[in-house]
Amino acid sequence: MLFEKVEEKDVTQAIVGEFSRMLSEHAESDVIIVGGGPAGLVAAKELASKGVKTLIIERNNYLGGGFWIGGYLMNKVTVRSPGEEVLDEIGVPYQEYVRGLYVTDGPHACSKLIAAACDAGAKILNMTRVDDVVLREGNRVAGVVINWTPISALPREITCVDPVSLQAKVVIDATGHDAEVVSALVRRGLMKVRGYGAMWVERSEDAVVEHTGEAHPGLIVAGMAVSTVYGLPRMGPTFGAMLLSGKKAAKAALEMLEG
Amino acid sequence: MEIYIYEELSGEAQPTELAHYLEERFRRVHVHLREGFFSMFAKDMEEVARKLASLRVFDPSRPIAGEEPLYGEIKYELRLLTGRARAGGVLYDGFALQSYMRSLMPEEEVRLGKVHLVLTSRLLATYDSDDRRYHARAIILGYPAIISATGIVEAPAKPREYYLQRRILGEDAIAEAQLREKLRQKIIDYDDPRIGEVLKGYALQALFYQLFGEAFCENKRCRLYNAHWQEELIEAQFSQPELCQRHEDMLREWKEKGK
Repeated sequence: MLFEKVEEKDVTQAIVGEFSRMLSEHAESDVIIVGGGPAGLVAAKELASKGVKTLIIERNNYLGGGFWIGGYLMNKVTVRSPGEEVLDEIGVPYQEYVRGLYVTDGPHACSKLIAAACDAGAKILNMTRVDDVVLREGNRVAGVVINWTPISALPREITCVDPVSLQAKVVIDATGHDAEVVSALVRRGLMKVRGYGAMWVERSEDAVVEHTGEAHPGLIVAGMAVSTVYGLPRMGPTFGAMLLSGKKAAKAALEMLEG
Repeated sequence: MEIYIYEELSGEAQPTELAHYLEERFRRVHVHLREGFFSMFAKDMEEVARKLASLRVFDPSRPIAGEEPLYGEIKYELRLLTGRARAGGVLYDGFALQSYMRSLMPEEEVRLGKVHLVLTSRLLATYDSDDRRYHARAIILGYPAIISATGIVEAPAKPREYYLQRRILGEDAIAEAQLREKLRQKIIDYDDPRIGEVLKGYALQALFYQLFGEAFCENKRCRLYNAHWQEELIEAQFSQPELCQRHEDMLREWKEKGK
């Protein structure tokens, strides 16, 4: 026989035991990153590689968000310079298409980025949605309230399942245009957002990176969530801003952790 | 006459080169380089950040109404003021900014014998009640005169071909980069080495305005020409001689008066 003999209960205990241990250890993290797209993954890689206890919460089964494919379902992704620096860091080959614009394979870049975040030590809760935020004095964000993704997809009558809460010193909202953590604060009347397209189009990629930072005490916004909060225009299918926004979010989180 | 040059998010400006140029051109002036306008005249950077954040233009068809800025917008301005971010994607009301800056200046600084030139990379616009919309500006004349390096790129219109092609291209980043490359000789772009030279022309406009109450010239080959198109701007700023005969004579007479 090729494989060792193990019993069904061993498999179950391995899954439950290890998942529970990980969840228990991360009931309190240094940084919780909500959203496992390119911005969230880069932030996770940067933070975890510096020894920061980092947890990614992803509502889908898969990580990577839109980074698997470029525009029009074609799996070539583009980054404008200096975004290629991140591709260098994770060891993804690319080519310069025109001056300052680089193109690479989406599946290769995305899988390498996920691996880089995991290798750095970031932990992941996938199939998990953020329902609400944990607040402390001065309405500082101090964690998130989570539940399984399928719970929200089923009728309320059969899914009356209470959520659980996770604490963190810093929360990063990297959930894309939905800005799910920010939306929780908006629902509570604690924050306002500008909506899309209120600003100057030409430098929207720069603006996303430069506006990445603390948007509410304890909460950093990164990636396209930045657009939602500050009214930046929607961008075309280039990912440089997402990658660099992730880096900027990690830097901002480190500054907040250092106090 | 005393000229004070401030670097307020100067970016692509080269203040030392500008200072030498003005001293050479006007002779009877002393040019002083001052580090930052706000660090010179304001004490509370948090307050400056709050005020700057309130000067953002979100809707180009409506004058700003002093809306309460978001927490993250104030934080962004604070990062800009402390050199931890770069300007990008934000449009400010130019007259409101100038008025705020003037309010910070002590009375003895606002004199006819003193010219204050603020070099910025913020994008400024002024509201025109005739067509009821904001227009981007490269320069705001007065106390202080504000010259925007970003405005040099964004305010004068690019060739018609650029806008027609952009409509067709939509969000195609590759094609847009190729288009800019193709039009390189007809437009001033970001990181363009010609920006420093163009800036000198706008500084001349500010000085002529203060000395003679006349900032602009009808002659398309004079550096005081108020260019509405990038191609006109390039022609006005890179033609020889620099000034038309009338403005050259005005400057010569002014210089001779001081002998």
